[in-house]
Amino acid sequence: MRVLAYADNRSWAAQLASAADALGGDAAVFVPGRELADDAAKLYSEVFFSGLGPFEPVSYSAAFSEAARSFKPDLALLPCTNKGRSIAGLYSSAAGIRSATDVISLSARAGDSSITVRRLVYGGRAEAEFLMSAPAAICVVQGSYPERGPRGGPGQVHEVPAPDPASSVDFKPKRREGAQPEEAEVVVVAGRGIRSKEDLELVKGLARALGGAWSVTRPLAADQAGPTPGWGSPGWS
Amino acid sequence: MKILVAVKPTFDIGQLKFEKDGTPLLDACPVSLGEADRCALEEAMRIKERLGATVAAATVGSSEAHYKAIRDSYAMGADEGYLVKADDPWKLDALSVASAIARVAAATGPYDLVLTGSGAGDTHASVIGPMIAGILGIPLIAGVDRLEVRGPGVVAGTCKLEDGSYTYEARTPAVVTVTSEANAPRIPNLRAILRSKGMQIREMSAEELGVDLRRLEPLSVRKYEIKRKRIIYKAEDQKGAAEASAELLAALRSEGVLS
Repeated sequence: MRVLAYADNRSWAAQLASAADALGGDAAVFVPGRELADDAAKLYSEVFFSGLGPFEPVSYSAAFSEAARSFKPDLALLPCTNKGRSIAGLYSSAAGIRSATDVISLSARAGDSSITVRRLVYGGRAEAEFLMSAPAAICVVQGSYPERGPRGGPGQVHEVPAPDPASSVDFKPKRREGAQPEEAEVVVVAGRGIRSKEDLELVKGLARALGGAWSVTRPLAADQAGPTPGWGSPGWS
Repeated sequence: MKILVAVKPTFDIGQLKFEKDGTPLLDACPVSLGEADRCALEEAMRIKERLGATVAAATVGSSEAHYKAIRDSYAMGADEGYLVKADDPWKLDALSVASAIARVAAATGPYDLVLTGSGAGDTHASVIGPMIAGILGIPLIAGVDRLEVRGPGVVAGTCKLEDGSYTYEARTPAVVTVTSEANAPRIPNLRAILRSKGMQIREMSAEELGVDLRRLEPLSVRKYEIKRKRIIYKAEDQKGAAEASAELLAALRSEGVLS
């Protein structure tokens, strides 16, 4: 099975390389910049990159589609993040293929182009198993697959022309206050026992004392109580 | 200005219960118009009140909850309501739903804006808006917390994404998906609710729209549980702690938690 991944950082490139390994066959990745392309070449046999500016879904999806036209994948694997979901929706509608989000495991069936997909449904309270036929676009939940180490020999790197964005973009990077959950060695996590946003100060204080980061579980994430939009929900927890 | 709002009824997952074998009891779970879809409708109403607009609501599915979703949209102030008939709508695949909404837009438009919730509270796939934009070939602003019409034919939306805040400005027509953080949706008064019951819902068939409504049948659906292993690595002294830590790290690696 030929897999084309989309990754906008090293961690996702390594996680989706593991997911592609689980399916077997050739794997390539599309990344939105030259610097990441050189890193990704340690993980994939082929790397496509475009010199894209700040995230704009239509142009990112168009560049990814261009890479797909060249690589001809059976399956597109994307991060189950806000950006990944947008690209998956645009790409699958352009290609006329099915998509699945919140996927926690994938396995290819021997002898045909079917993939067994397990995904979270009903806000993460249930899991459903589907049989999907390739081609398809799949958004994988963060942490479902471990980060894979480098493979032998660097992969081939191809540049894809950057399409014009469909909208103008004004980007303000997130101001980083203290340690971030995705990087910290210690994460203090608040759950439903926390009754008010004021009580979160206790959690933040403990995280500071331990030199770590703080975050929240899904019910609190749904109330946007977490430090980062998305943390605690599928794709981030 | 003409605005189409794609809406869908969603299960109230907070009240979802399961059989002992883990099967979800969907028939006993309340269903209502999704929160983010309500926020999308509210944005449409605010534009209508400020600048003047005709607002249409559209949904795909023939369940009573789908008819109620359109009546609720009328109660919030929508002027037109379209329902694409489909049995067993909960199993429709996302691309079919997006294709049907895009065909409704083409058949009843042209629209300046197509709005929808950024994700349904139950499935939360968040791909319907992007797919509609892809099918119609128009700009997409996804996950908007703040929406603004900046002038004739220009719309702007601010979104909080993983790495920061993005403000997009696009020419209309455009698709905008709205989060439940964007506003506090209005609660219709009794008069509006009563009026909504008498308003006509225009039913459309998949054949009439020329769309193939495909289903994605799950092999199984079960309660999702992360089972605790309840393994304790004990250590009496510093040497024991080092050994226990090594065992813990080996166990985490073998489970794939660490690489």
